[in-house]
Amino acid sequence: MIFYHFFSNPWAVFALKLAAVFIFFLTAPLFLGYVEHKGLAHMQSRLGPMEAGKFHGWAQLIADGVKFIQKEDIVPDAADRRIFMLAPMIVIIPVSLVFLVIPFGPAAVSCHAPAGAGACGFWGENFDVGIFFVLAISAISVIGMLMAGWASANKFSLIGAIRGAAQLIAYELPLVLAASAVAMQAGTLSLVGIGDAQKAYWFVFPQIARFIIFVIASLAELSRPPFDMPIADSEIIFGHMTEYTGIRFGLFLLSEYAGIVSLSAIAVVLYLGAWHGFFVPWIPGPIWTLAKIGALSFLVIWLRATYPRLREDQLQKMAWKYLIPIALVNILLTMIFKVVF
Amino acid sequence: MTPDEIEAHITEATGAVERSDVVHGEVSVWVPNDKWVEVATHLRDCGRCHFDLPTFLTAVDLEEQGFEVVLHMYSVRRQHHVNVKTQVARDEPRLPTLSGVWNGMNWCERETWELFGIDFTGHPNQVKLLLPVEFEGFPLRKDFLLMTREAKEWPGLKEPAEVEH
Amino acid sequence: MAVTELPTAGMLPGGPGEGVQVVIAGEELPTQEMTLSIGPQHPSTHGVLRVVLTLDGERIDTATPVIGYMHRAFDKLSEARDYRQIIALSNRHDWLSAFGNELGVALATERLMGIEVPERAQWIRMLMAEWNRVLNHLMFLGSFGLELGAMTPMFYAFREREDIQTLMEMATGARMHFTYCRVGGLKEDLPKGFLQYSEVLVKRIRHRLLDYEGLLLGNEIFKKRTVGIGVLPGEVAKSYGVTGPILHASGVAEDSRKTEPYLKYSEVDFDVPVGNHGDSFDRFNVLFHRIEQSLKIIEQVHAKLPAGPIMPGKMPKYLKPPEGWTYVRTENSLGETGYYLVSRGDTKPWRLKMRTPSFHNVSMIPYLLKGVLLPDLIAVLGSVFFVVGDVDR
Repeated sequence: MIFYHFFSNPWAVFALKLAAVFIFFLTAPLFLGYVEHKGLAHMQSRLGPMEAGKFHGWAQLIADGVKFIQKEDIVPDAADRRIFMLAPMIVIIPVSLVFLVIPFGPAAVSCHAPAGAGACGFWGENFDVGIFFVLAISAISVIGMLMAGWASANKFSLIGAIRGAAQLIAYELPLVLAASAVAMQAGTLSLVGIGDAQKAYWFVFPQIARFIIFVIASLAELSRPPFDMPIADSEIIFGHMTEYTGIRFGLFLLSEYAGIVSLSAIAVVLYLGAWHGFFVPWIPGPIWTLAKIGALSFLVIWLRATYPRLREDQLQKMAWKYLIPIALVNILLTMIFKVVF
Repeated sequence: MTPDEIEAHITEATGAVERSDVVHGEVSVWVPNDKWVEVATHLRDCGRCHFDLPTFLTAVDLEEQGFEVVLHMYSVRRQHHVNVKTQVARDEPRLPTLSGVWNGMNWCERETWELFGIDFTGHPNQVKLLLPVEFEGFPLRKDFLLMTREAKEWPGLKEPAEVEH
Repeated sequence: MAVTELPTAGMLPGGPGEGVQVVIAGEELPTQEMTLSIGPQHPSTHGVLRVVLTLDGERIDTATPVIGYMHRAFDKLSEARDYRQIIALSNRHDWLSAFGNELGVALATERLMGIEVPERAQWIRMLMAEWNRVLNHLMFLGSFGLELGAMTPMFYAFREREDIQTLMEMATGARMHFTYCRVGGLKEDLPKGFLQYSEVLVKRIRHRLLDYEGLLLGNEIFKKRTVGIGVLPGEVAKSYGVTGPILHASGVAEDSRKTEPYLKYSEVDFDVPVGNHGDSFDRFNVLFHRIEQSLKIIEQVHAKLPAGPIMPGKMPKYLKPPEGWTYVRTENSLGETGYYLVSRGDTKPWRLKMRTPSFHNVSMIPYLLKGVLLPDLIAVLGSVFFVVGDVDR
């Protein structure tokens, strides 16, 4: 009975969901970072962290976080102080907001949410325009990137920031086009709706091209190898993050890993059947979702171990000459199928 | 060409060879200062010599006789070497530049200039290469004392510069 | 200012003479070149090379290498050291091919003094020089990948280097600065088990080279980044005095191991791999195939290594080369390392000029960097294999 009362109070549900999203936002990137440390290490015939926390260095990322907090927060003399300090927040907040709308499981059957709030389930918020919200808000990070690059008063930072902005503009388009094809197929903009619509078959199967486009574009948005020119460490030191230290640098890193998780999650919801599993239907939906997110994130890490970096102009060429036309054709095909069948 | 043939050819073709010898299979020809560029250009362009790879340029301190500038060249096609040498005066060491003949001479001459103080006239960019800009003196001259020796005298054999001091 | 002329007035479509001519009037936005100083502390310069660039956007207008941060006056120092000490001194400047450097000093001194080096010592010297070459090239194979953003080859290269360093340590007692050469021969004979391990290593490394082939040479992105980038014609390379793998990549097969064999290079069979285009990919490819050739030489040394002493029976008590001069050229890992040695009959050389390959290779960088994009700076610098200590001496 007490649970009944608890869940019928919208504020309590709100607080609980907020806490859950926040905890996920903080822990998932840490876990992913650890997997990257260890995974990369083993792919490169080394061990990776082994000391922190005794057992295979499990506490390495926590130790890193503590180190970041302890470090002096240096702002360069020539920097534009306020903007310099603000930039990491601008980068990280949109990434954290994305987690609010990602559905991890199906709608709960016995749900006593107040009327008008929609069915409740394993998600923070079910927007009718969820996919639109996600794509719009994740693009805000680039403003933080530009702010960081400009305010650092460092030429390397500036070059990195401008590369990042150019890259984002080029890759936002294929990303949105690939996603909108899915929205058309599902007939809804709500992420929960899209998840529901994949009960019969995953959206990756009819047209695998758009899934590939989406993954490539997400990699470029995240500036992950092979598209890490904005932070290409051998050319421009660390791009827009060059001048940052301590917790502000930590926030940038956190946002990078949170970004991997969030874009993997979106890809899972849009293409990989969200919480719908196969072969073993008794495994609950959220576990399926998490497993798929993990698999996709691991792919991102794997690519880092395999590929060198492309050049900025080659990247742009790829976006404008190949990805966008293919995405457009894809939308056309989706439209035709939608109308004919 | 064999070392002896090279020696004969250069003497004949340029007519500027003061003396020459062959030691350990290496040909050296000494030319006067004013024929320096002419000889180098000939060695580059002449089909029989075809010295297309300048190996290095340096100098040797001969104390009171001045400096001996050594230019070593190699021909990839003919597979032979030559050392062209010239002597410059100690009080006013000066030599025309070869940076127009081979690109690679640019840095070699900058290095020789800063280490020996030999002025290469016509050099496009004669500034310090290895040493810091504020460095004074020409360290590879024999009268320049090694800095550690300046700080503490060496108990063993003396260098020429130390004997004078 | 890169755009100096107004955009050409284009004709809008509509057939000849009928279109509307578009004239762009007014002043252009003023643009400014950016000066970017890369280094001396920069991750991609292998030490402390500094390159001052003027950039137009991301395109490099001029590039000026600034060197000398590691200058330690080898030439002057060696005038105050005796010949044994110079051997130890010389293997420090190019820290990736220490054995090749000390070999040159020993050869020059021996030639001046007329010392006959025993057969076995010559073969072992060759073996060590070739292992050192592999060690050096592996480093550049790995670091080139790292600079282009592929981090895995670096770790693979270091795994192999670790094995080879263990091997070298068995014989020399050192992992980087071997100081194994002596004037007249070698410090000591090879230890027990050295040749067996060496044979095992040849097989292992040959097998593992396939990994690099897959990771880099066959990688589409790697090719996109390197093919046609930083093209160096053979003539230009020669006029800058460029030697070694970079010259070979430009199609000039000049290798003093072939043209003027020292040690026992005339008795082993190997090829000099050359490139066709002289671009970054060719340079990398040549480096890769040089490893294979070195392994081939090592295998032949295993088969032909004679027994015997490693030092001549009778050596003078003091190393006092007679008055005279000589120039010894050796094909070191990165190109021609030569020693111009002038002796005045003293225990110390009168003048020892060290001709290093990296110095000449780096002097060519401004030519290669003109007009390339900033990201290509990495593809070019990484493929002009140089060690900063070797540049600055």
